[in-house]
Amino acid sequence: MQDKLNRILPRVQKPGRYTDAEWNAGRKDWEAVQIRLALIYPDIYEVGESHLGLKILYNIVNSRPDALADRAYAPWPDMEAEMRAEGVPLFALESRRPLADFDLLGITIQHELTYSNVLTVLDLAGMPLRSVERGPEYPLVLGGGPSTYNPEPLADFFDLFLIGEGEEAIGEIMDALTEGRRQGLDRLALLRYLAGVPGVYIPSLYRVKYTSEGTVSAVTPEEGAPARVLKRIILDLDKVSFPTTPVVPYIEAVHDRITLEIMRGCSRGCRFCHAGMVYRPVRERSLDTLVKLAGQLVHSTGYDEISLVSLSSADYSCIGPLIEELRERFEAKGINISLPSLRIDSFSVDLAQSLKAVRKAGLTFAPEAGTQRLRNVINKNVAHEDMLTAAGAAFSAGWDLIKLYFMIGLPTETEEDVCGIADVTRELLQLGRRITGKAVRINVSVSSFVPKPGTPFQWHPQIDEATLLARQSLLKDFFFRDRTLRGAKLSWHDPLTSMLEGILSRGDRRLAAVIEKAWHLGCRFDAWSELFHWNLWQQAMVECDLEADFYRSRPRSYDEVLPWDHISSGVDKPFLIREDEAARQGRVTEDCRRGRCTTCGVCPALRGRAKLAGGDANVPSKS
Amino acid sequence: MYRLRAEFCKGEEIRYIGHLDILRTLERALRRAELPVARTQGFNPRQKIAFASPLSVGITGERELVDIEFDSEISPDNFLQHINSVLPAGMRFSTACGIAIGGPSLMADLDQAEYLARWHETLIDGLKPILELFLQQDEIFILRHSKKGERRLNIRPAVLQLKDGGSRDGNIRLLMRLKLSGELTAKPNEVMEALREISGLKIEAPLLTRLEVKLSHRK
Repeated sequence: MQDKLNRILPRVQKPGRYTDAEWNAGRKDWEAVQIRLALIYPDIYEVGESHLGLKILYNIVNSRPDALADRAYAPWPDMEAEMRAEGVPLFALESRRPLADFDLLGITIQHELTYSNVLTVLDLAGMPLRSVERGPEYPLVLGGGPSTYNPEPLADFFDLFLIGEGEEAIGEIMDALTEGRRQGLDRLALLRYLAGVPGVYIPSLYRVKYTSEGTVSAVTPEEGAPARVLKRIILDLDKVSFPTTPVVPYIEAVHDRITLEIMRGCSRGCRFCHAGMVYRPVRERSLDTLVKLAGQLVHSTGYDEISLVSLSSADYSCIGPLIEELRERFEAKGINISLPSLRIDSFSVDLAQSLKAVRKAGLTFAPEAGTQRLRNVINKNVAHEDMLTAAGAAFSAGWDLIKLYFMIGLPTETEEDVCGIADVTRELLQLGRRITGKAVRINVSVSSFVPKPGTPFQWHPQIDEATLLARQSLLKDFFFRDRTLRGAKLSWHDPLTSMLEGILSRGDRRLAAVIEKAWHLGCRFDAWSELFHWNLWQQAMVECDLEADFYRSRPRSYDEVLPWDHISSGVDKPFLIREDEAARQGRVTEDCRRGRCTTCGVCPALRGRAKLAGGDANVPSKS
Repeated sequence: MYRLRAEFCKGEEIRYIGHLDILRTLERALRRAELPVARTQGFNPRQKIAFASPLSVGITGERELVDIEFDSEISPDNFLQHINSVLPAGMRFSTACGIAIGGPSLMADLDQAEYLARWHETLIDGLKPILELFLQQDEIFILRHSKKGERRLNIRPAVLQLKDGGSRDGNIRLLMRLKLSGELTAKPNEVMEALREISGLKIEAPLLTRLEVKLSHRK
């Protein structure tokens, strides 16, 4: 195979993507283990190698003497074409073995725009795309990650999903697989056996019926399969293994630094935010654990930056002391500390000021909506005055560039809210000029809202394409014509990719046909705007006789059976309904770390509770 | 301050890794080794590392040269032992020696390099007649692509030697000595391209290795 690769690689872009032998790469003996797992991120190497979740699983599986974990990524289309022409199947990096030789393929599904790449991975591995067409000679295909909180559009392609966090469950799945094989179970019996592992969802064991209107009428599990699959979580992050010898890529990954996960979950309760709902409750690692991990990671990787990652790192209860301690230990060695996201208050600005990496990269705030009314609707608890104070603090501290993130297409949004984005920007530009005595710059980034399953907005229609484009041009008019907005730069996420996300995120099993059709039509790497072909997806919808609007822009009633109702993040439906009602009335809900328990249901469902490094949060009250 | 000149190989495992990635890999290895590498001043301090000549994606190197400056003295043996224990597969240092601080840089002393190209092809008369045909030409023009655009260049004066290395395991082997500094330079891929044109051979996917980087002899 190396001969073939030597012929192919000089012809493709960035051949370093297909190189292994990186520092800390495992390379376990293939013959010395009983069970082999390929961990797959369905995007290019640079993206996949930046993903912490797979690094965690790679470390856990490779520390088992009886198992090995190897890595694979989706080849860029030029490489895919060359591999097909030369007859090279998709292989795992370290073992150079075809994926079909493995026992288990673990594919992470981070977002909807990687669905087409999952099919590339399976097909290039020489495997039938659909689970029912795969015999016992093929590996089992396991899916995980945030998008599997609605696994239904992908259900036909996967043999099993793991819902939630994989640290403990991956070992249980591998054990069950080994045991099932020892007992000589056939493929169906093996899947039934695996359904006994908590958090495992075997889609083929569930029958879905539809109403005459096309909505789901019932999802019926076969006997023995759980009626509702509840996510797995790790209650105490201090007691779970964290990868301290991660692979250090030769080529530059998207996140080319130490990623130290300081906490999981976020209880701010932004109503649009999928991660904020499904990753509950908040669990922080202790200060001691983090300082120890940081030391080991610096020593084993040689990176010059430690990024303190989580959904909202400035919310970590001991963030000040943590940063102080890390700076004291590592700054003299030329190692910088960085935070990926900031909340909008002057405390964050003080933090940012002490961090060189953040000083360089610039400050980013996410007000998400342009008016106070709409911020209340989405429960983004940022007051107008907070924004002025934070931006003022940033300008006083010497920044002359700040970045703002907004969304358009949010529920209840009007043109006035869109104009609010321009108003806020203008006010901050004037504030900056007043404080610094010269012109400041503001980069405004606007994305389009996609209603996500498992959030309070799961019943809302997504904004229609025409209105979205009209609001976009309204905003463009402001930013390109209005002289008072000089100094502000507007950038967009492709609004059409959000249309596709809107279809897939709340889809049902019938969309498998669409995904397969679109893939046959040539759809690949939909997250890459140069490769995104909305027209092909539209064609696929038409050929499969399905309506985009049915999935995207139809209001759903609270009593409709949703395709993902049998998958549970632990947050219960009555809470989501209460939150949606509060949104419609413009009422805000407190963060349970600071205010009352919101009775979201996650703590009782998972027999856990929020765990903070600086002392525990509220005890959940009975709902 | 203290300066070491060291020799390393870029092996088969990392043939498709480019120069900037090799530099970053070395920087990280030096931090893992916790060696007292000197850093530049300023807001973005960098380790003081200087290579003789960048090696392109697709080319391995057997004896590449790099200078590294340190804040305090470190013995070459100590350096080799520490650095080799923290390098990924594909990169390895073989020798090192202390040299004067303030002396000419590797880049300034760079003169020429020796390359080996090997590829599958069956030639009845061997490589010799083709090389002679090449060397008989006074001018050989190629198109060189750079950030500034395309330039048409005569590489013939920079081709110092072409030699049949004899075939081995069904592979044809060609040795080249090329000028790497000064007004006229030649790259091994350019020579291969010119050879294709002159000879009509396919020369499919030749594997290139830089055998040695040579410095000019100063008095």
